[in-house]
Amino acid sequence: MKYFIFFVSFIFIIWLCVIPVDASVLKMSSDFTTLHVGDVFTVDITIDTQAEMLNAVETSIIFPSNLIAFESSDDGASIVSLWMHKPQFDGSNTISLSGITPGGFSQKNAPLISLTFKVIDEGQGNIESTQSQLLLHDGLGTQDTVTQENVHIAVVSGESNIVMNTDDDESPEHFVPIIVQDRDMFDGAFALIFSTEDKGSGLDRYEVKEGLLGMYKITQSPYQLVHQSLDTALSVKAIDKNGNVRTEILYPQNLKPWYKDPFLPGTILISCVLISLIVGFCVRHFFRK
Amino acid sequence: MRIYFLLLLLLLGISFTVAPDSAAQGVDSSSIDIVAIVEGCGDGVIEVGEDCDGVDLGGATCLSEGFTTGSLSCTASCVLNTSACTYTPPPSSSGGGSSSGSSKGSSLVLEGTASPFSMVTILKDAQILATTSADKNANFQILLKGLSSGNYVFSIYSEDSKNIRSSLFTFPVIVSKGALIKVDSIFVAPTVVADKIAVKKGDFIALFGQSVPFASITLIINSAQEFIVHTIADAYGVYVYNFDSSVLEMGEHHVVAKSISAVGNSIQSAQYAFDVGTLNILNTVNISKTCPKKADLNGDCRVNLVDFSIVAFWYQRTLPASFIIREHDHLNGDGVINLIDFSIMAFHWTG
Repeated sequence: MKYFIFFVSFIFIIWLCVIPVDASVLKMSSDFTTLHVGDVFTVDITIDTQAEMLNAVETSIIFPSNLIAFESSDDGASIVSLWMHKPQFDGSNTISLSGITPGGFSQKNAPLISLTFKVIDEGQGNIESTQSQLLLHDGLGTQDTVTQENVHIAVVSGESNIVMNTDDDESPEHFVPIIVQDRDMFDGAFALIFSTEDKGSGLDRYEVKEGLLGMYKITQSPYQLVHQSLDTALSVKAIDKNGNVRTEILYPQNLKPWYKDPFLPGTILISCVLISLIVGFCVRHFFRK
Repeated sequence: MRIYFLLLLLLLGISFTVAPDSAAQGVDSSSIDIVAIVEGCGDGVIEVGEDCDGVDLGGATCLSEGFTTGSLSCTASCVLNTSACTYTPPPSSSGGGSSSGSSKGSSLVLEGTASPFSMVTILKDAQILATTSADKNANFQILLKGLSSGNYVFSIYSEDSKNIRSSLFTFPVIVSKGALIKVDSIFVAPTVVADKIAVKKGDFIALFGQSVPFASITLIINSAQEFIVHTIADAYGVYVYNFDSSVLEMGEHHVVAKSISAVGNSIQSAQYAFDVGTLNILNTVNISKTCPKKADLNGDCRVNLVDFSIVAFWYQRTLPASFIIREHDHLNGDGVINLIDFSIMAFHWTG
């Protein structure tokens, strides 16, 4: 009996040592864990901070790519305000992300990201997080202990019956692009920085156009400006995953007055010649009549 | 007659060719409210670009601006001033929030206390959205319009009469489509600094700051042994506590403040660091120019998207020698940019 009590006490002490007390929890959950081939379903990843104040998160989500295929990620409701790494699919079976929440957060179910998958084959598997780091809001970047709650999925035979609705009709949030210059960024060249969010379907991409006649090109912040003279209008489009667009225009800092435009004399000359030709043609036409 | 017609055509052609494109001058596809100071502001007549001018409010009232009662006025830059307007939720509401339908986006009312006449800054998802002033009783209220539905992270900080910034008070808000949400009882943390950056062991160090008038202030000195002392703020919310350093060990110490008033308990202030040694070194830094101690890479006394972009540029990349020095001075000094550096930045964030 004495040995039994000693054994139970020993196991209890070991259990206390192994189970982290007040560790933040990185939770994964889904409304659907029994699925059929063809189903499209979402896995929500949330953080339970266990009353701690956190401000930075980094993790990788691994999924069974033989059963499900990654469709999209939605950070519209995320507690993360600024992403260093927006959720990024490596093309195989991992989605990595990292971001911060300035000012920190302390919540029971802080939303981090929603991932949408499509079922491609029958079987069973786990969607799990790995290499997760949650840092405390203490000004030192202290790492909090993390426990993980993964999702187990079972794909069984049968008809697909899950329908996903995306009814986001709102544009991404307003934002203000800023031109910056820093000696350690693009060798001191002028760069454009911008950041916004989309609360519905999440942000898909940014596009930047330099000048009125330029072409939009997909890019990200910081963006090195081609026109370093800062005399052209800059347009930045934020496009969400439902195709809603927010366009912000930054007007040129060094806009030259029209009379200082080096192309002006040539433009006037060509215009005069063209107008004279048109007028001449019209006059000749009138006099013939 | 024909000659005049031809000349007119020619002039039209030239002006069409050389006229600057209006799209480059100010046509914006977005609907951001832009406040501009117009030359005619102050002449008592509302002109283009002015919301109001002097006593002429253009028919606007607190009610038309989304509040329920109060007195609307006009600022020196001819913008409507809603600081004296108040919003009272309808009787059917419960708890700390209320909502009503609106066809033009959602609105959010933020209400709380900081310190008397302090400047209160509101951040939406880490970026400055608006500023307002607290009144003599330290109360502030602001209406934010045109929000999309969704989850937001709002943060608030105040700058007291000496321009000392409080710590960020952060809270999530879920906004439904077309709703008017009210978040009240926000209690911004007190500020705390000291008259010295180093105190000779056994001498007094004056710890002071600002909070709500007549608030009970708790000062926590973090040492090997924690010391907790209490004092009361005056009618202006200002408090001073002369702490006897003889009880502290030699070395670095930190002090934080918390405030208790009729509103409730504030969150903890930002911490102030000081040394206990053999010399007194006065805090000669012009407090009004106090900058964040860390993460302000471009030296503009703010930690915001610019600093974030500079650091993000080097995220998980090999740093050049010039940037290693900056990383050492402003971040954790390990010679790489990783999650820890961004966590430090998030802690010192000002927007």
